[in-house]
Amino acid sequence: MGLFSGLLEKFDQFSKRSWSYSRKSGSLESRQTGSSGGMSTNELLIRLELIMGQGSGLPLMDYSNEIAKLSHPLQLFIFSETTELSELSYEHANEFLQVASTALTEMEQRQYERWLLEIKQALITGNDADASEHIKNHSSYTSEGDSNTVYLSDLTYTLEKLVYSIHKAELPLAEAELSSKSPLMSYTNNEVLYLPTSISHFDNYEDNHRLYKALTFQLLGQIQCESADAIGTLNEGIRHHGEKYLSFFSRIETLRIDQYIKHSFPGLWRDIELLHESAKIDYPSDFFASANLDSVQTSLHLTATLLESTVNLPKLVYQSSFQLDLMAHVQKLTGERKAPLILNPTTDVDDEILDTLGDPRKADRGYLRSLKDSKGDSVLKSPPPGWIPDSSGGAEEEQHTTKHHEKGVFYYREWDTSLKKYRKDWCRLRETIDTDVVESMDVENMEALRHAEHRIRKTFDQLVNDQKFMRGQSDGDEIDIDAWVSARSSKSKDTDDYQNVYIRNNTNNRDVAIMFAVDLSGSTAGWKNSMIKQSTWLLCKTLARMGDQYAVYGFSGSGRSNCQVYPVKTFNESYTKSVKSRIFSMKPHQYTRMGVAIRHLSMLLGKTTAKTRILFVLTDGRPDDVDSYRGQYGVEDTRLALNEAKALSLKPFVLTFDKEGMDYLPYMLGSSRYQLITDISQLPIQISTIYKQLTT
Amino acid sequence: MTSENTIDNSKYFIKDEPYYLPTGNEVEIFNTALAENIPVLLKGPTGCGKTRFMEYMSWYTKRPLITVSCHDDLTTADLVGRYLIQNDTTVWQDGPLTTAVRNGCICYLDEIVEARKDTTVVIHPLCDDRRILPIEKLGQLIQAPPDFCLTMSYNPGYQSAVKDLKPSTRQRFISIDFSYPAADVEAKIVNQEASLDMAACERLVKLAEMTRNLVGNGLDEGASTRLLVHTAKLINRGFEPKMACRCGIADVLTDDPETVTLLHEMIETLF
Ligand SMILES: Nc1ncnc2c1ncn2[C@@H]1O[C@H](COP(=O)(O)OP(=O)(O)OP(=O)(O)O)[C@@H](O)[C@H]1O
Ligand SMILES: [Mg+2]
Repeated sequence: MGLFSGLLEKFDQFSKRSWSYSRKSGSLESRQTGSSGGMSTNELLIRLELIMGQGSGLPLMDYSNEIAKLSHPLQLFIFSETTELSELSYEHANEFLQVASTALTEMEQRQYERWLLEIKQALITGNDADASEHIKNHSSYTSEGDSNTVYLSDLTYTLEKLVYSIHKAELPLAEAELSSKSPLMSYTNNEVLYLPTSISHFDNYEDNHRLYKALTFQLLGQIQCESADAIGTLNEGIRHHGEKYLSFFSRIETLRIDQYIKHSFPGLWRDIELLHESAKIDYPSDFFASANLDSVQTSLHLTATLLESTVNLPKLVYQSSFQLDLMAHVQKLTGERKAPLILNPTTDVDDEILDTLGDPRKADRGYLRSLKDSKGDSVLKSPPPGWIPDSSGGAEEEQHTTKHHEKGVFYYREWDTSLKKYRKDWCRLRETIDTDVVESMDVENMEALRHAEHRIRKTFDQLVNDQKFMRGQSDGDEIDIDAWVSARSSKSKDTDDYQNVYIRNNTNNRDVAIMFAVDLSGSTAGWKNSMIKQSTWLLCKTLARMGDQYAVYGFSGSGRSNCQVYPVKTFNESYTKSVKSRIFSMKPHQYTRMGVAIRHLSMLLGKTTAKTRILFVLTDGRPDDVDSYRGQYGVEDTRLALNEAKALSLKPFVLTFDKEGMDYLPYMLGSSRYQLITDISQLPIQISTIYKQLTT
Repeated sequence: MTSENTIDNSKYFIKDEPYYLPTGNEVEIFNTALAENIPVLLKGPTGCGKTRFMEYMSWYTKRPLITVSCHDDLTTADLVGRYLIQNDTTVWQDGPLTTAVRNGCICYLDEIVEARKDTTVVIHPLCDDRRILPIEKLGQLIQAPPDFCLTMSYNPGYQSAVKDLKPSTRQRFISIDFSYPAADVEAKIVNQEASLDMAACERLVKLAEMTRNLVGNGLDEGASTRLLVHTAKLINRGFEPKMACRCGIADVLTDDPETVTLLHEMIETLF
């Protein structure tokens, strides 16, 4: 899973407890307390005893006192990590507890995550002394101590997009699983590029950054140079020669991919050469001098030859690992099995060839390739069931993998006020057309409505008639004879009079686009809803006569990954029966995540080219959603979303039924951009008056 | 009050052959459309050679070219003509479209969707087999001579649905699709226009392709051939390629800091 989506998911899990915990890259504990109270010392002690055992002689009470000062999420973090460590080594778990509360207060989330990762890595590989060393040296993981470390999360966005621009299909970056072999372990299954969470291999930031890029492109190279085609021969070779075969192949294939990089991305190649220097590698530049680089068979062939020789190829720092199981998965997916053209000397040649010739799946190759080319992802992107190694969030992962290809789905950022930062692609919004059958399009209280309709008409007619012709203009389509006559007869012979003798027909200059964003949260159920429907209907009917562009969208949703927008009438639709039925099928849904709805509808409105563009939000309360989108957070995000709308030169206006709205609306919008409706039956008339004010 | 405006044709003739490298069979299609008196619609992103193609065709067919860049205040009067006041009397002044019709020129309406809705209606009778231009204010109907030809350009990419062409307008035209040329052709164009060595041109085209893959993913439009030509000229004048790409491509395409970083990263990868 993409690291970012991984983080998102973590956020989802934690946010249920406290949203202040999970900033994208974490933050210092001092800023982190606040809204979430931690557990009491007693509760902590009981939990610690559960993990470390009662009567162990450890100063668990002291630990509890220290941990009690931390926020709830951090306490939970300590428990889960202590549990994990104690399974690896009881000693180290204790060492960890000694420093945990001090260490965690001075580190950011990703720093302490890296800290624990390295501790665990050392334990897994049996380097107990190193692990103790890491635990003691916690201060070297703080911002001051770790200026050389590069985090994947900082590069994910750029690298993913960079890869996308080359590969034309999404290859998300994700954290590689912890490996006992190397902290630089990276691998791919042709769908996701797995990379280390952080790199601090070199003692300077630049080289570590280069290393990330080199690793990424090696993985991309595995895909583009079709390394996975080697799987059959590789398995054979390993059976005959052991792991040594794979290690030889990996080194040689890395060199082959290097050639691809050198040829296609000379800039990156220069960076890689710098890495060679920093790592003091004697690079075998002429290794592939004359060989045919097009096929992985070349590498296999060389592997077979070199196995018996004394040639010593260096292990390059950026060598990615070739995971046989993942490669086999790729093979299965593409349904192809290629004949090894250059066979391992020890393999039975005839059998292999016969085997392949008779393979009916081989014919599928062209077809699958063409699918791969044309659709980019549909075939390859849907992983077979039960495959994804990190099975914790299959569904979520899929959404993120395909996020830029799904139709009618949009991703928007959201402002996290505690972080003072946008969370990128945070909200997932879907446009859903409500196709419910409407029970009745009849309106109650027809008499009152007719009256309202009449008044709206009058207001609007004034608008239209107000500005038919503009006389005495300096430029225009027609001559203003009156102006000319008066200029001629003017005694003063002021030449200026002759300038302004044109009439400008301004009917079309009333260039207005308006977007009605209607809050369809659960709280609008009942009479509010029917009033909203009736007003919308009246407005649409009258607006249709005006020639102004207008659109109506409802919004609601629950949670950041399920934001909904319901198109009732789009800009390029005209008012028809089906629009009417959609108006009357508007019904209350779930919550009010206002920010994302405003962002989406601003985007749509921003696409129109009218001179005056109004975003009209009709709501019954403050922003509110599950996953902590409420209070300050919701108001701040909505405020930012409205500011973004203003920056697009849209005019936002909020009409609310919420009597408490005056608390936050002035802050959210600035003055005179909101209005409170006390008498909902006045809604249509109020809207039309505001409309007039806004458009003239 | 009326005056038969005829223009000094030579002003609108293109004397030297403009450099144009065909990317498909657009030249043949255009010639056929001319012969059959069918108007032509050029569709494509910005900077992909539409204007250049028109200049080339004007030179090739030896017909004068009148270009009108449409903007959102362009009225019918701006196209057809209007009365002006001179020395106490009114004088009729032909608009560019009328001039083109009267003189049998090629009239090229650049970015037609930008123009106000009502303007497209005046070209309707001109674009079907009647081929007449009604000038309401003069009470005239001008029959277009066979040499007259109407072309419009239009960029479907970033246009909003609201500003789409009406089907009744669309369906009067033959459409030529101008998307970016194939990589080798494009490299040749850049090479020719900026006389930069071929290897560097190919690299620039590769960069452009990468940016084009990002359309909808941070960019509204990818780097156009025009940008490549500009950048190639910078490099040719001795600028460091990375620097030239930043000024000529990355910073031109977007202001969003994150996307700029990404574009810089692309440049770092390629150069
Ligand atoms: N096929 C081609 N042959 C020669 N030059 C080309 C070709 N395609 C593009 N160019 C180069 O690209 C530049 C931009 O082309 P042009 O001005 O015709 O773009 P355009 O399509 O009219 O763009 P816009 O829609 O922004 O007006 C030209 O100056 C020329 O250098
Ligand atoms: Mg042009």
